[in-house]
Amino acid sequence: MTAFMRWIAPPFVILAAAIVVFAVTSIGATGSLPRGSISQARLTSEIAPATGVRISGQAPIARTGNANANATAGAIARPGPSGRGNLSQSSSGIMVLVTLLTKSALVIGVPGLATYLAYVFFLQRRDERPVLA
Amino acid sequence: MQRFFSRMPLAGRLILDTGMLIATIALIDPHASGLSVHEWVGIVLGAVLFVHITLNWQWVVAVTKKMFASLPRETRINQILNGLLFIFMAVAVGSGIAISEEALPSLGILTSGSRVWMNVHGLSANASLILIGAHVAMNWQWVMRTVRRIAGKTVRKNPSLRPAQARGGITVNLPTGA
Repeated sequence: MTAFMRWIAPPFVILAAAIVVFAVTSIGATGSLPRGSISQARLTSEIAPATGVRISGQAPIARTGNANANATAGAIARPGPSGRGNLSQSSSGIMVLVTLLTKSALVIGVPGLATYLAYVFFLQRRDERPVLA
Repeated sequence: MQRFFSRMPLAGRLILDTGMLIATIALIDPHASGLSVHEWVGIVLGAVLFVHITLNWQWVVAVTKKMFASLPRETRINQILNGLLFIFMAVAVGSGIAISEEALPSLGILTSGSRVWMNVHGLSANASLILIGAHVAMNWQWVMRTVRRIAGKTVRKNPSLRPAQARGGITVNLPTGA
């Protein structure tokens, strides 16, 4: 196996596979491929051309050429799809750690423990020899 | 480049994998970490996933070539688990990007943010978490052997081999990092 096939090609193959998986999911879930767009605040003041959705209930932002101000305005004006805006405010302290460890123990640890026990008791065979590829 | 990666020590791989697990735990609760951290960690984790798979590329190729051939049960289960994990993680990262509210907009890219994608993200992320638990469990003995080797203790089997390879699995020449 050449260096190209071993180290250069794999990331592109993985990326292609991931894109295919995501595209298939997108078509299955939404009926079309996902589309993003450049920040509308950089392009226009009020209407997002890609979606035709008004992105701000405020008055149109003038195209002054002040990219930073417009981008900030666009980011602020963008509505959260489900009220997730409050997620921006993170908790702090020991509660974060406790919460994460508890949840990870439940959603990762329990399935992991079950798999490991199944692996040890049902799959592991010490007398098997490796099968050469 | 080949020499660099082939000499990447087992400790490096273990640190990379451990870092991925820690990042995954950090992603579990966006309320706790904050949405911005959640999104950026997810994007970085998606990129590191490429490195993780590339480092184990020989195993991927070996089992893919034998996709329709007879394989030991353990290897087949590993193949299915890893395949599902890749699919769900690809969807989780992709849908996370699709509903990004802070990371991508901060780069000037607006995303769809539709509820459909939020549901897809939730489902795929939860499935990924469960499968990550199973993935870690299936490779737990490799982890322990590697830790013992790094600690200087003797191990009975080649620690460069994943459990599926060491017992009834496909054997490939993974770098030992020695």
